[in-house]
This record gives sequence, C-alpha cells and structure tokens, in this order.
Amino acid sequence: MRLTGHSYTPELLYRLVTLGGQLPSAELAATAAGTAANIQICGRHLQRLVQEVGIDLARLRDQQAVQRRRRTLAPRVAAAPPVAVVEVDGGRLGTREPGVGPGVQQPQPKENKIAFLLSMEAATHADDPQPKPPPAFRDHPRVARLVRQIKAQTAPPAHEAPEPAAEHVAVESVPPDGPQPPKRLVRTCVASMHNSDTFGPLVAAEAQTRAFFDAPRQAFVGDGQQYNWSIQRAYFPHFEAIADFIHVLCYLYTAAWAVQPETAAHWQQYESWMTACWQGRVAEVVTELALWQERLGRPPPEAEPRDPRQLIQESLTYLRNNAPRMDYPRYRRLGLPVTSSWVESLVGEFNARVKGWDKWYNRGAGAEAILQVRAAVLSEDGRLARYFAEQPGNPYRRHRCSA
Amino acid sequence: MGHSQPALQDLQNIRDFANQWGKIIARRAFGDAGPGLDVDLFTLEQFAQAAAQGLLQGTLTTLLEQQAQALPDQQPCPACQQLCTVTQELRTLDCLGGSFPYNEPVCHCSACRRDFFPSAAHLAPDRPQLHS
Repeated sequence: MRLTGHSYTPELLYRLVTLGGQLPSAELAATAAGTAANIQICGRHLQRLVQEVGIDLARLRDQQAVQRRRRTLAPRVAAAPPVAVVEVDGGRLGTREPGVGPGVQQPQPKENKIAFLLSMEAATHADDPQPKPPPAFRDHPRVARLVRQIKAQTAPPAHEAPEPAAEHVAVESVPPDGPQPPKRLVRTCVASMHNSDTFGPLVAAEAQTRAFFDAPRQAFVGDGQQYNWSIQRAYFPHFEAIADFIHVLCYLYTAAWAVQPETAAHWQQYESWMTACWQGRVAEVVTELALWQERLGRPPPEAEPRDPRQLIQESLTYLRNNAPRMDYPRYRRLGLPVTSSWVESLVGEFNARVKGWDKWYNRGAGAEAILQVRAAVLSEDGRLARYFAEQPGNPYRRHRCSA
Repeated sequence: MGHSQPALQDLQNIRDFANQWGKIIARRAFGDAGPGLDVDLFTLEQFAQAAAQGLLQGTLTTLLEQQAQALPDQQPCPACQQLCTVTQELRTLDCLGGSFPYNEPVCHCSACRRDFFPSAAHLAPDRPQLHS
C-alpha cells in the first residue's frame, strides 16, 4: 500500500506537503486544506509532515550526489536540451539553535545557496542581435532603484536619481526592439544551507540527471561571488562562465558617481561605461577606471564605503576579476543569457516561503528540510509527485501499547 | 486495468460511468420531482459533495478489502524471511474525501518481535521522465 505510520493516503499526503511548500506558512496551508478540501489538520502537524518529507528529499538529493561521484547516476531525460543554463545565487533565512527550549533561541541569519537549472531553446546569430543596451538599463530612475536594491551600502543617495516620469512607465510596457526571447523548457532547482564545497556536487548531480553536460550550448551565470566561480571551475568547466550584467551595471553606476557626482555628468559617464561593457569593450573601461584611480589615489584602510576612491577600487577589482566572463556580444550571439535575473527571481520565490520576521528554522535539518520541499514545489519536473510515487512505504508498523 | 498507473482513457471511462450515478443520488436526495425552486446551488453542491465523498470512501474500502483478501495466508518477514500469518487490524485512513475504515493486513514476526505490513513487492513502478 506504500503507507507510512501516518493515517494519510499517499495522494492526500502529497497535496498537504505541496500546500506546505507553496503557501507562506504551515498554518496557512492547514487553513487552505480545511477550506478548499475539507481536510482537518493542524498547522503544527502539517509542519511536521513537511519536515519529514524535506529531510527525506535531502537524503535522496545527497544520494544522487554520491551516485554521480561513483559514476552510476543515469540521466532521467530522453535527450540533452539544446541550451543548458545553470545560475547560482544565495539568499538568507532566519535560523535558531535547536534543542534549547521553546521559542527562538540564539537567532542567526544564515545564507542559503540556490541553483537554477534551465533547459531552453534559443537561436544563434552570426552578429550580435542586440548591440544597443536594452531600454531598462538606460532608464535612470530604474537603474538607480536597482543599484539601491543590490548595493545598498555603496549606492549613491536616493536624491541623486531623478523621479520616474510618466513616459518611463510607458517605455517599460512597450516590448523593446530586439531578438526574440529564448523559449524556456523546464526549470528545476537545488537549494541548500551547505557551503559551496558541498553545494557544488549537489548541483552537478542535478545537472547530470538532466543531461546538461551533453547539451551543445552550456552557460553558467553568477554574480561576482568567488564561490560561484569555484563551483563553475570544479564542476562545470566546459560551461560558458558569464558574469551577471546587472551586477556589472551596479558597479559602473557607483563608479560613475564617484568620478562625476553631478547628476547629468554621472548618468552620461554611466551610460558610456555601461554601453562599452555591453558591447564587450571591458578593457577600455578598466583602463579609464585605472586612470581615475591614479588621479584620486588608492583608498586608505579607514575609507568610508561611499568614499570615491573606495568605489573606484571596488569597481576596478570587480571588472578585472570578471573581465574573462564579460564577453557579452558573444554570449548573445550564442543565445545565452547575460544576466542572472532568473535565479534572482527564484531566490525571491524561495524567500516568499522561507523568509520573514516570524520564520525561524532549526539550524541544520530544519532549514535544510524546508528548502528541499520548496525546491521540489518550484521545480517543474513533478519532483514531489515523483517522490510520493516512488515511496516504498514503511514495512514495519509502530508498536501499539495495549489499553 | 491490471496495471499500477491508470491510463487517462481508463480514468475518463470511470468518470463517465460514475456520472450516470448522479441521477440515482439526485433521486435519493430530492425524490422523483427533484429539488424545489427554493433550493439554491450551494445546497445542491453540498449533496453532490457528500455523494462524491461517500463514493470515494466506499470505492477505496472495497478495493483495499479485495487486495487484502488476495494476499496469501502467510507472508515472509522483511528482515528474517520467516513466514508469518496474515491477520487484519482496523485502521482509519484519511483520504481526499474524508476518513474511511481499513482492515489492514498485519503480520507479526515472533523471531524479530516486530509487526510488519505485507508491502507491495516492487517499489517505484513508473519513474516519470522529463521531456528535456
């Protein structure tokens, strides 16, 4: 029967755990189950079910990584996708010390790592299909807002950017003239609280089950975090390493403000550098920034985060470190993505479930479990349904005391 | 329908068949004349839901009973393979339509001193594949 110690049928259990992974809290999921399907279950119990399934999903995921290491992991797709994209990013969630009594004890925000694996179809081009930067990157209020979101500490003050005008809204709603967007096929994801040494093999195993290593075109997109490139070098060496253009844009915006504090000149400088990077002329920007650094000098150790010398130094370092991964015209010709916006959105989807002032997970298994259930729910490969279809059930029954 | 994963056509056939029982339910609930004009859709749907839940529970109870009866009198213990007598114990299961009683086949291994379920012989019968 594939029953476990619980009294739920596998179908009901699947739906309850899906609700627990979809809705912001177990309490809400229990309410939804009661309202929509007349299933009476308390939030705490549903949370335990989600936890149990999450722990088991983590076990299966780790088992998959072991199989990959032993070269016994078979792909579960019929054919390799035309384009395989892996994007990696990190989020944060609240954790607490387990086993020290009720309530939130020793709270700590901890980083989780999330990988986005997408198969897609995209045309290749003889020439750069979009040599001009898209309107979104030339929209001053929008770019300023973006920089404040990503680089809150070093972003220029809010009053530096003009207010969004009505025509900006109109520009955003009109589809830009450019190449046809790629066709997304299937998205799956891997999430973990582990460090990059452990996370890399988990992502590689997932990529192997989807035959990503046999895809004719492969891309690995990340922001400037060093661990992203460690994973790429170790597990995805043949993938095209691409530095997220949005992060590049943020560094250019702050550097332009450092050298040209006046609003109009700042924007002009930013547009010039941003266009150069978009068109693959990173070396020119590096040279210009190096000249500015010579002119202004290196930042002292006690420099403020918004010290112009500090901003130039940071931008220069970022561009020098990532220059080999910034050949954007070639990536566009190959139909590969140039931003990590997909994984950024995915992190947002994870956060919608796991992050909040009232959400604290036990360090270790607790946080890991909810990430697995959320990843299963967000993956488009029917992972959770497959998990329940493959469950062997418990052959033994719990001992019952006689009354 | 001897296979473990039902075909979509099989499910549709069952749905069409059960659809006909709606007339019986309607007659049982409101008589041959049908519901009065003062009965609203909310009330009608409550009757339909009760019928659907009852059908779900009754079908599962019958199918599980048939499966339990198909088991041999003795089953091997998963740990020591010693043959143990199959008995039945009442258990309540929750499904989408509510709860239903289930006379679960149970064995007790005197060597291992454990109770076990005579579980399905094979695991994970239909591993779905991704398209890409």
